[in-house]
Amino acid sequence: MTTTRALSLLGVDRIHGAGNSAVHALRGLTIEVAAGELVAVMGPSGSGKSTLLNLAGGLDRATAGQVLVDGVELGELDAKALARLRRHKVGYVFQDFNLIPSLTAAENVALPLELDGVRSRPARQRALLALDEVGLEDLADRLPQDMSGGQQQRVAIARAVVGERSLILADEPTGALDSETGEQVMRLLRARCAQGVAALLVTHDAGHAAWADRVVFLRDGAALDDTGSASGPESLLPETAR
Amino acid sequence: MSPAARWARWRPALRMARRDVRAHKARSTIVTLLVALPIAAAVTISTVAATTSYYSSNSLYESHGSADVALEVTPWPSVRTSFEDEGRYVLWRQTRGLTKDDRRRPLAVDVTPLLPSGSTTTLTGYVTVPLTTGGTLYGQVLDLDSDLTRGLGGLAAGRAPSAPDEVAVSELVADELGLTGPDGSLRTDAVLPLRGDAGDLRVVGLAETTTSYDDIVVVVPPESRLVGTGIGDDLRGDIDSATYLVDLPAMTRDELQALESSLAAAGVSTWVRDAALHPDAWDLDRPIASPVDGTAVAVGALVIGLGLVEVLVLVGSAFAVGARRQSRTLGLLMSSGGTPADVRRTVLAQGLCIGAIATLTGLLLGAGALMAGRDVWGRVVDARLFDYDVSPGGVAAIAVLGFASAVLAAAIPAWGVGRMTASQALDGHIALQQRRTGQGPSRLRAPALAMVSLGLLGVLACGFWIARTWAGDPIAPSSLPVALAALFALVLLVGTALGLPLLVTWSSRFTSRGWLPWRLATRDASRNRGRTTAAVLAIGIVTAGAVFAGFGVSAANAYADTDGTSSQELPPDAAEIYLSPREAKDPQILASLTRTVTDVLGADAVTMSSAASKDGKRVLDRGRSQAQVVDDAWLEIQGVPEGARSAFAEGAAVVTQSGLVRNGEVELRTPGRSGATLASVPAVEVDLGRDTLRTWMPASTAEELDLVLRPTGTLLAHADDLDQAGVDRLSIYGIFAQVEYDGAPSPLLVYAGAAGTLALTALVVGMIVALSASEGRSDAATLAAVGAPPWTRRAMSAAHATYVGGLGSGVGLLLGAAVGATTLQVVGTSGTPVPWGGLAILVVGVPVLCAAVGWAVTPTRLALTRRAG
Amino acid sequence: MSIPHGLLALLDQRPMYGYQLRAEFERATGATWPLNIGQVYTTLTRLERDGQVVGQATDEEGRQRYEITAVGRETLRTWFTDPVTLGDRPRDELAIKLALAALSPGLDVQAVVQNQRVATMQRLQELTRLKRDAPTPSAEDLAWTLVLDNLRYMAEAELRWLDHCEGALARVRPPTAPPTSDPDPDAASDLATDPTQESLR
Repeated sequence: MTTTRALSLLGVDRIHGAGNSAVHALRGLTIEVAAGELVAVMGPSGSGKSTLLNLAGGLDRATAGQVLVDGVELGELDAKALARLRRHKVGYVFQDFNLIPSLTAAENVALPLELDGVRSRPARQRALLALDEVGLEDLADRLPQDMSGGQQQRVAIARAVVGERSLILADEPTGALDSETGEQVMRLLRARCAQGVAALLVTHDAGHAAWADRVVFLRDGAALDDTGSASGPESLLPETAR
Repeated sequence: MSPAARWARWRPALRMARRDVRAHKARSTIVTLLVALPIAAAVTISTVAATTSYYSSNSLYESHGSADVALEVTPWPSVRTSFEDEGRYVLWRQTRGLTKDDRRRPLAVDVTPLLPSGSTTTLTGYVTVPLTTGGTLYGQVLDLDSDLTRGLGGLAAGRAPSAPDEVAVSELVADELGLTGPDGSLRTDAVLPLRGDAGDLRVVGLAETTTSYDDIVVVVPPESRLVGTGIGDDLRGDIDSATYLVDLPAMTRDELQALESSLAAAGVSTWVRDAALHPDAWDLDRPIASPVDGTAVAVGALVIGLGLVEVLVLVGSAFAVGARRQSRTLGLLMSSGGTPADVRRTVLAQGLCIGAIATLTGLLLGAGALMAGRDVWGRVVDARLFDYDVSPGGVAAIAVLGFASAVLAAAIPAWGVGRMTASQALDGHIALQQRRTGQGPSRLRAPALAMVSLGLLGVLACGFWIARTWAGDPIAPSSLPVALAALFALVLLVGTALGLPLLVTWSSRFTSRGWLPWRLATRDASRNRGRTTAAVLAIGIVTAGAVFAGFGVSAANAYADTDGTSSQELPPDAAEIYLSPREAKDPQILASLTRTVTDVLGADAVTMSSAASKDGKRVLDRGRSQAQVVDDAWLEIQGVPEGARSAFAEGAAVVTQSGLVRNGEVELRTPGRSGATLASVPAVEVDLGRDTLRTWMPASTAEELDLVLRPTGTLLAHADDLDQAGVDRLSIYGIFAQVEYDGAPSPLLVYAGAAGTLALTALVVGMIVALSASEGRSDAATLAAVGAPPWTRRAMSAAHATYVGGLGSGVGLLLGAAVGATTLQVVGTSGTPVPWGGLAILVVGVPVLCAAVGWAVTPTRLALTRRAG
Repeated sequence: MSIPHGLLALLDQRPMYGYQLRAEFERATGATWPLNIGQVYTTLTRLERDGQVVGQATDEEGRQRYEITAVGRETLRTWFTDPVTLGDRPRDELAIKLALAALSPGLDVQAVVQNQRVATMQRLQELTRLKRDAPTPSAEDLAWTLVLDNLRYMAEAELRWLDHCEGALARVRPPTAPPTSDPDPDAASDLATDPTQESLR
């Protein structure tokens, strides 16, 4: 793909702490995600998955290397600009407790817009549209405590894409869900990618990582391997299936 | 950013705050009340103070009822008047050129033609009521049925006196004079017997007046035969003016001014309510403001300051708990594109929200307390409250201050959470505070220790200095050491505040063994060090204040003990009674008075002195005090020794001033430059140790010298265990006596201070333990899961409360004692008076009370399931 | 997997002829389980011999339908209700390969594991894509979906097992430069750029 990548991490290092207690969370990591691509990052606990997501959304800063979102180098932005970037380009989905408990579904989705200074009424209308796309327009005025885990995650995805944002950063978005509901959430994520959104998914669950176009194996802060671009379904049925 | 967009960014924050307030009802209620109660108290106190102040509209009721104008008919046919003191009262002088012959009898003047039609008038004033007890009471002339007297008096029972022989008295008088039946109600045949030819008055009602609830009140109607007859008016002579309260038809200010002028021209001085209410409109000068009392301002500022610190500390820690619980929310906010400013806004919004609610609640509570508690407040300040004088500026200032303290309390944790990174927030705790666990307190160790040492040494040094400066009887003691001591005390306080986290950490180290709940509680306390510190500081400040006050009271007592004797004039168990000259001359009155005093006080001796004169001139000693003739009983009451009394019985004078007796004689003379020496009489000198510069001689000696004796009107009575209460009772019989005033503050104050401290300590620990218990839900679930019995949780809370309460009151005791013991040397007593009783209450009370509170606020029946988030 | 039992299950619905059986079988199990027509007829003949099915008269188009017998139904029920035990399954080549690799000195077992992991993940991705692209499962497609899920879960299990193998191997035979204790980032990138990209297929 020749166009600008939705997300590029180029030789990124992240060291927590200093001296003897320094922890290398990421070492020279390079990952690129194109628009419309769903990339999964797999790795055991402590392999730097969460750090990777924090860096990608500008919640944390790289010790070395470059992080680019839509061609914009995050290292050059100040805290305010990073916050604006999150409001305009990046949406986060976490494992659980994604929603602010004191806001309704619609208000949660409208939050980035309202933080951006959009007036309540248009913000709510766009939030309702986003909820409609994830099939939850009926629950717009419910508080998170009155929704199931799957519904909450779908609201979180709606929030992550509201306002023409093009990069979803998801941290174990299905971790707290049963397999059936988790599958629905993954389907939804894929559907968003089909519409051109880029998504970076961090998980230790192979079943969910497999929904990605590409799976990157992370080990001790570095990319170990990746599955490359997908091959066709004809190559199925290896020996084990006999 | 446009204002609209700026406002739009507040909207989600405020919405969240609003919902959070609703979701966490218990916490919101506590925080709201913490802010609202001081506001309510301040509103109530300031309003009551404004209402009872001299220049309030309410105080006009005390002087003029609800009258529009009050007329004073003067004996002169025409007067010039002037309003004084912002229209509070009116001065008059007769017009120039009038002579004594122009005078008239004011009561005979009919004021009705002078007033516009539709006016209502009622006569008011005072009469003397001579009782058969030998005493005399003042009676108020009031038509209690008239609306005009609303504010001057009212009826508690019975009906208003209206016939010439009717009277109403206060319940106190009725009870004491035996006018009430066994059930406390007025007897139907109740009679107030008057001496002389005045006849009896029928008591038809129980009255109260504005100025006092529990005082001696006698109310007679304008029609009373005591009015204008001059009966018993020996103290004031004839009534030389007649006062009327007037209700006018609606009039403009100009008309009022015209009326005032026309009345003055008719010899009537007029007080106008409108002038008192709107002195500016009447061009009345404001009085010169009294100079500000520096001490009062300093004390007020200190009290308000400490109170504010208290609110900030308590409310701030409650907000901090909220912020900590919210940190996940704040992390989400950041990941959704919220800037640190948005995060701060979110926490601050809670302060705004709660501040607004609390301010409103406080104002409403204050208004409610004022409305519902009108009688209670009236009793507290000993005045009737008719119209509240609300100072809008004052209430606004209180509201703004309360609101600001809530916002400020929220802003402190907001500043902290605004600095944390999103990943820290998403981790679900305020990482900044947790990560610095190791270094935070130790970074402060050096300055804290330095400040505590400096403060302590400074306070001690100043104490020494103060003791030296103020010892003895300094003419103009320097206040510099006191100011310095206060400064060092402040340093000590700040140092203690800084060092408290350290203390919490250290003290929890000593509790690594022992009873499980105790161990858990101390760990919990040191883990939530910030909150523990706040609570300890809050309790410490209150305790220090109470201890300091306790030292103050003790010092005052000690001062009274050592210093009080010199100001005494009366011997113990003696009362002095003053009579008017006419009463003093009337043997009948003296007899009934003696009987009453004997009955009421149980007096064993009542005696009166006489003043000696010769040929119309006073007889003086060389100390220029008039020689008095007394009897042996007088000397005995005065405590004159046996030897001197036997000499007195032989005819010798007793002289209490030193240097007057020469060669066993005292010289008596008449006043003036031409005054001649009358005689020298044998005398003995006694030192009573009191201010009784007198020469007392027996009647026999006076007779020998052919002196004329005139009763002084000063009676001396003696009774065992005579005290103020007995004297108060006596005054109901119209007899006003004096005993030596025991001015020392009661040690009860110390105990009240200790009790107040205990109550506040209970509140603080109750709050902090409840907060901890609700936060530690998952810990409790774990405890339950490993099989701990339900009371473990309560025991843990009790231990937690005891730990916090003990630490706080310990710190407070040390601070208060150090500062109190040193600075209170100013009262000039040697050594340091220690309020042992109050201290003992605190030392014993705090642990017991805290354990009880901790136990009580913890529910054992709690959903013992883990609840995330 | 037993083809005879599969055919019996299809015939339990209605009588069918050979080509029909093959088409239905593939529809039920997806393209994952190809079957040639010879296999179908051989199996049918064996089933008829054992009295599990019975051939009907040839129709006008010359196709012979087969019908399930009572004996066949009994066999089918037994097959359904008996659990499949591990002993029934063929030996797993991968397990044997890794076990032997662990014993071979000088061999980079971690690379072997990682290669296998990439391959398995790719297969899992493909299986997932099949599932993803399929329409919402109807009752008819359910059978196929379940088979697909079975394969996906097996792949997942294999990946988990590979993780476990790697952990166990790391404990027994630590790599020459354990990255956790080495501050030099080069060691890690060496590992990351290991050029073993060939598939085991």
